[in-house]
Amino acid sequence: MALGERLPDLSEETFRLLRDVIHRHCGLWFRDDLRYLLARRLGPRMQSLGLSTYAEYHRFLRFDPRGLGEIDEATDLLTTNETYFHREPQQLAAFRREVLPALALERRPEARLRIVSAGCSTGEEPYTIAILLKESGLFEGWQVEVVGLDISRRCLEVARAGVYGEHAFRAAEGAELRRWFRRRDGKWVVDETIRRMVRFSAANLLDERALAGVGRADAVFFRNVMIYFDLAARRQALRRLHGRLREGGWLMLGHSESLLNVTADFELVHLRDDLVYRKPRVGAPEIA
Amino acid sequence: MSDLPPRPPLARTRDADEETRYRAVQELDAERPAELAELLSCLGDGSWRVRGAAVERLAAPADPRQVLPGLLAAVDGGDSVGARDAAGAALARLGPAALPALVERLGTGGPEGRQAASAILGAIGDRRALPALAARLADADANVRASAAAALGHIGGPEAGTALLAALDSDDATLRGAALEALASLRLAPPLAQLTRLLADRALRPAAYRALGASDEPGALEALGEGLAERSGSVRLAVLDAIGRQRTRRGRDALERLARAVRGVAERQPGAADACAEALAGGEPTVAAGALTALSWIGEARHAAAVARAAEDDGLRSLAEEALEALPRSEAVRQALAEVAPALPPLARLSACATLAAAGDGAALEAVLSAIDDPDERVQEEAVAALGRLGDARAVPRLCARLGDARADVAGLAASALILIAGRSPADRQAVLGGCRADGAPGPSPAALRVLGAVGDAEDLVRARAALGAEGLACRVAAAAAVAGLAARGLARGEHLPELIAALGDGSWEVRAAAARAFHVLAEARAEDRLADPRGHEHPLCAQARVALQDRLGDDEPAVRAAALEALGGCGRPEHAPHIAALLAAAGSPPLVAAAALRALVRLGAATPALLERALRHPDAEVAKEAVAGAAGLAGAEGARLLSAAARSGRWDVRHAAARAMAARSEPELREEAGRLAAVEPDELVARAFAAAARRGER
Repeated sequence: MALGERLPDLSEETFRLLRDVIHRHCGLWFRDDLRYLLARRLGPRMQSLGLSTYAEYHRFLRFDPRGLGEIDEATDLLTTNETYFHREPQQLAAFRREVLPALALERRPEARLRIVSAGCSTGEEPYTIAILLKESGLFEGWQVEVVGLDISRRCLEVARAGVYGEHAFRAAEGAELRRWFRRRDGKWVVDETIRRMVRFSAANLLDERALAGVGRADAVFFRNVMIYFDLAARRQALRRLHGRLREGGWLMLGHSESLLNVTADFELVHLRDDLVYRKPRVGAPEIA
Repeated sequence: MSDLPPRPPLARTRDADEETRYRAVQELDAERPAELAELLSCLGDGSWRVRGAAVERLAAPADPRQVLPGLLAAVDGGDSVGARDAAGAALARLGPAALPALVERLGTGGPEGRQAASAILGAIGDRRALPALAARLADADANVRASAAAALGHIGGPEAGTALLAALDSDDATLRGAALEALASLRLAPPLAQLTRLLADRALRPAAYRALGASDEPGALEALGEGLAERSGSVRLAVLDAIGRQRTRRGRDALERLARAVRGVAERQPGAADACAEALAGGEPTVAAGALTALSWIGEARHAAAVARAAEDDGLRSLAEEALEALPRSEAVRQALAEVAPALPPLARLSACATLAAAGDGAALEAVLSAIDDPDERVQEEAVAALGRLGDARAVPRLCARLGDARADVAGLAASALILIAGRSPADRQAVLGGCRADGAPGPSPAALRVLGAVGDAEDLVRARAALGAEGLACRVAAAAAVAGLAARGLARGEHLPELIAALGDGSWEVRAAAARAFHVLAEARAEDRLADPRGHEHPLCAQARVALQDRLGDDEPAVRAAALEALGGCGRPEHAPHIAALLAAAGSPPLVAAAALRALVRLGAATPALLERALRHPDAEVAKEAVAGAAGLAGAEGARLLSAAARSGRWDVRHAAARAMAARSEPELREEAGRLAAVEPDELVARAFAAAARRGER
């Protein structure tokens, strides 16, 4: 027995047409080398609709009255990114050791803290942040909120359910987080204490109105998301996040990302073990 | 709180505090001479944030002429590398406004000024700078020559490509390297003979191999395959990158010569395959794609685990599965996959188990079957798709159970999988039909109807016709498609299909559109003599059906109008042409309707040159592409003239369609024109298509 036919080929022409449709819809930009990803993610969807070629799928997106809803579906599929608890541990350690104590000091008068996980996918990052906040013991009695934002409704459904497989804990530090989960039917369900700290919201990071309900943030995690934006969209998303951050608020990017040649709106801060960015302060205190 | 007035920004730009300087710079106005001077001075600030803010202010003046002299002077004589870079960044941000001054600087400045001007022109990317940059390839200074080559690579286009190709014959090794790198970044391949000479130069080898990734010459594939024998890691990565690009451009089947060469190297040098496996961990998508492609050709058991791990990456899973499938059906491979599978991430584990199941491993098949019930939806969906590819009839009950899944994605994938299984053998088809006929109560689900429509018998036509009256909208839509599918396979045998005609008047547009699409399928089948109706027999495309379809041309929903147009076009009766042409001409016709009307008119042979010419100018590219398709079938000078016009469209995809249509024509003048257009076409994909059209003539 041999494995049968796979997905049909996605030609360069149709890839570019599909990429343009997605880009116009939400600003996501798929580089040429992500053609396989597009084919793999959209192929099963195309088949489930009974369409046999990507060109037919493009026509469906462009012309079928259901196309607008389908672009949302496609965007969902393309932005579902595999992640796990305690990803990039070195940065999280620096966040715990240096940023959290600084925030505890700065925000003590108001005893309020809000951290945003922008592009939170299936929720592993915001729950990790919530656990770090809880375990730090620095914010007991405070009004603490972690906000997970993502454009994908499919991801947000998983995030809100808070139920994860073993593989989500594959990082060594992630395995230690299991104490905040309980076993159910072979899965790990996030503890209510942690779940209550986190809220999720659907948001296109390029849309100012979508971010309006987030409130002022003390720190924003924006890790491994910029890869899906072209330069103009990166600048736009960062401008939006800059607008949401308090002055002096922190911006955490993925370890391979930087703002060089993107924006000068943030200052680079050298922590002991990591580099992070910060929204510069103006002298006067800000009203929340 | 202090009552002192805030200091003016000019008094704060030298403050010791970085934040104070940053904010002061943001307040400066490049339109005011004193502040402009200060902004230019701030380009040399020690802080990149302050420099960045100065660039932002200098890059957005109302009149760029005010800032140009200062910025040009700063590029030449800035106090530091940071200052010169910042001035260059500001000039690049000014864009075309800075072009004349920079081009002039290319010819008159000192070597450093010429080098900087080249780099900035490259960053601006305006093609008007190409002649001046191409001239700098003969500059007296080697750094200027290399910088000009890099700039040409940034800007691209045929003129840049020609200049860079010529530079490959230079005596200057640095220029040859810069030109080759620039060509590789433009994905333009020099002739193979030239590349072969360049491969002899160790320093140029990685870029030369990368350029082979864009070559269309058959011999390039062997040269690329032989590259795997290289000892240097960086050269091998370049080879794998090029293999990945060739795989993306041409598809696996067109690469047999490359496959033979890769296998030959792997036999001579076992380490070459290990290097491919190691490259999978590097993270570069095209390198990983090349490595998986090479490993699929080499097919060695010891790399099974590495290949299986790559399947966790969505972008690589298809290639990884191909490579797994290409592994020999040996005990060593089975053991390697069985050992690694439990430790793999869920999706990679599924790929490994599917490979084992394809080799007859019952436990692995059971693992794939169980994955249908995995709590993770993506694992479920991948499992359903994998079962379809496996084609094992033992999966039929589990897949049929998913046909009624509340998630349309899962149900649709299960239907696709069952259709694949049914195609394996008559016995498998009967197993699938049995499962689908038992599906659902009171009638079959939409997904089951899809399977029945694709592989069912005459008795299923009765089911599908009955389902046209089902309560559920999705069922009625699926039933219309199923009726068309079954009838198109000759199972209607001249029967009248009044339910389908009635569906054209359904209260839901989705059903009306589905019924109209069904008539289109029937019309196509009739044209191909697949309806098994005696010639001249009116059913099922009877006059009543055509009248109902014509009524739908006035439907409120464009999707219904478009489907009805396609169906009437397929009927082949010229009397419908005036109605169709009226819809095309109607002001405000949505692109969907315009494209369908044009297709129908072409089908009826009623698309006049004047009408096609108008459609070529339609603002929606999809309509213009339909016009190209119509022009392609228009014999003689009129057709050729329209294709020439389409080949000059502002839209790359319209030009691409025109190039492909030109390749199918026989007129020598069209081939000559394709050759000329290939030389000036800015889009790489389109240029390739024009070149291919021109080459057809050579053959």
